[in-house]
Amino acid sequence: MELKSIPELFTKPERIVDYAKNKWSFGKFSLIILVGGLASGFNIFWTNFIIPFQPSNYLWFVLFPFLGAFVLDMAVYSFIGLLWLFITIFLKFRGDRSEVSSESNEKLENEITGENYWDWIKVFSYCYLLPYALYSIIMMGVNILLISMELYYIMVYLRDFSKYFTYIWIVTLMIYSTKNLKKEQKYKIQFLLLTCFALLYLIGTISYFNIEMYVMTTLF
Amino acid sequence: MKSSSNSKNIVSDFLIAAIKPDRIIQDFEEKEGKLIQSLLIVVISGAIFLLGIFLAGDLIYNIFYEQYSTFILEQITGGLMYGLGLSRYDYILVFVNALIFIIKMWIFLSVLFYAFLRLFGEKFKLGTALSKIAWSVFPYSWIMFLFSLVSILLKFIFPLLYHYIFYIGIAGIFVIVIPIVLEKYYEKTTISSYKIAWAYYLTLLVLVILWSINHYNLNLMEMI
Repeated sequence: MELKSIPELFTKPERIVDYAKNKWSFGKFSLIILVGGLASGFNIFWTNFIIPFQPSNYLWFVLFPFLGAFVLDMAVYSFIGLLWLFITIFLKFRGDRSEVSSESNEKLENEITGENYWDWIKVFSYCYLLPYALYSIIMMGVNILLISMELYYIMVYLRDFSKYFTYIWIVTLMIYSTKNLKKEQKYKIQFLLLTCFALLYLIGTISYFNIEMYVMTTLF
Repeated sequence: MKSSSNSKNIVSDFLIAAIKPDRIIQDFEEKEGKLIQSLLIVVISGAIFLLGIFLAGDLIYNIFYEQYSTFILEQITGGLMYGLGLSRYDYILVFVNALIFIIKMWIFLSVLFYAFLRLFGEKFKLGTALSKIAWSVFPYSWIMFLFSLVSILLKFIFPLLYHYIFYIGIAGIFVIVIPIVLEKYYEKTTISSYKIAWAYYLTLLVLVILWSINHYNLNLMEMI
């Protein structure tokens, strides 16, 4: 992907959807997870722990970026897993399925998504991953700049609010990518997607505060 | 006679709008831009929502009172500017003041939503935004009212958690349900769902940022 086409990812959401459908590969996906995750780990480490708590053990410096990559990895896969679970439940409650054999299960899934089920999942994983990875890389640059200028208050303010901009980007991309679905399915799928994302955010936030409290009270 | 049937229609439409918005959207052109009708919906919704808060009482009432009375927009536009501080025990005055706050929030939310959509290059009237926000957001107040009744029961089961469940439920309606309903309201127009979702969520983000100003102050005060 060319650097000059990055702004178009934001203004033209069809670019991400097309990219996910046509140029998807496991290698690229893994690379984005690794680079985005390392940047995300760096941001989490510097903005949440190094600056406020000044730890004496600098092993964290090495550990945290990899922890970030792991967290992003888990976030993407748990999102896909949760979505799959919701859709399965949705299929179960879709009416009398006693006559439906397991063979036609895939057909039903495809009917719901309006296209190949796994192509559809790929689009959503890219909609989730690409904005977050890009955000992490940009914020890593911004944070390095702010730390070097000792503008810690701005850094903390950005840490708290800039992530919501990315979450909005992810959610709007997901809503956009359902536009070709059948009208009666579209809103149900959007509901599942938003519920899935909101639940993950809730679980993530609760876990994050617990980890932060643990780190504050025991490690540093 | 005509006005009484009109008001009956508004009440039934208000009740239906939260469960089956499609029925309202079908002939929404009749309601579009009618500000008095939209205002009526906001006032009825506000009263029902507040009734739920007052009935639930306890932590739910106290949290609502603290959050709305310290919200920066309320502090700038409310009676505090003129030295009129309300005690949380002046229930009737708090009810009236909070109802006015909800009307102000309706206008603020609509203006922000309108401004963001204009920023994205879409042209339509502010009156349209006001009526669409009123009909898509506010009818959910009676579901929130049901939440508050459920939370009275939950208080006995989860005494330390029930208020979180109540407010997370309300946040869920704002974050998950309303954007989808709002998108349905714009189905007949040329505005894309991508822009509507951006405008709506950015509006919520501005509200959260403004709210956080006094949220931090409030936490600081509690710590002191």
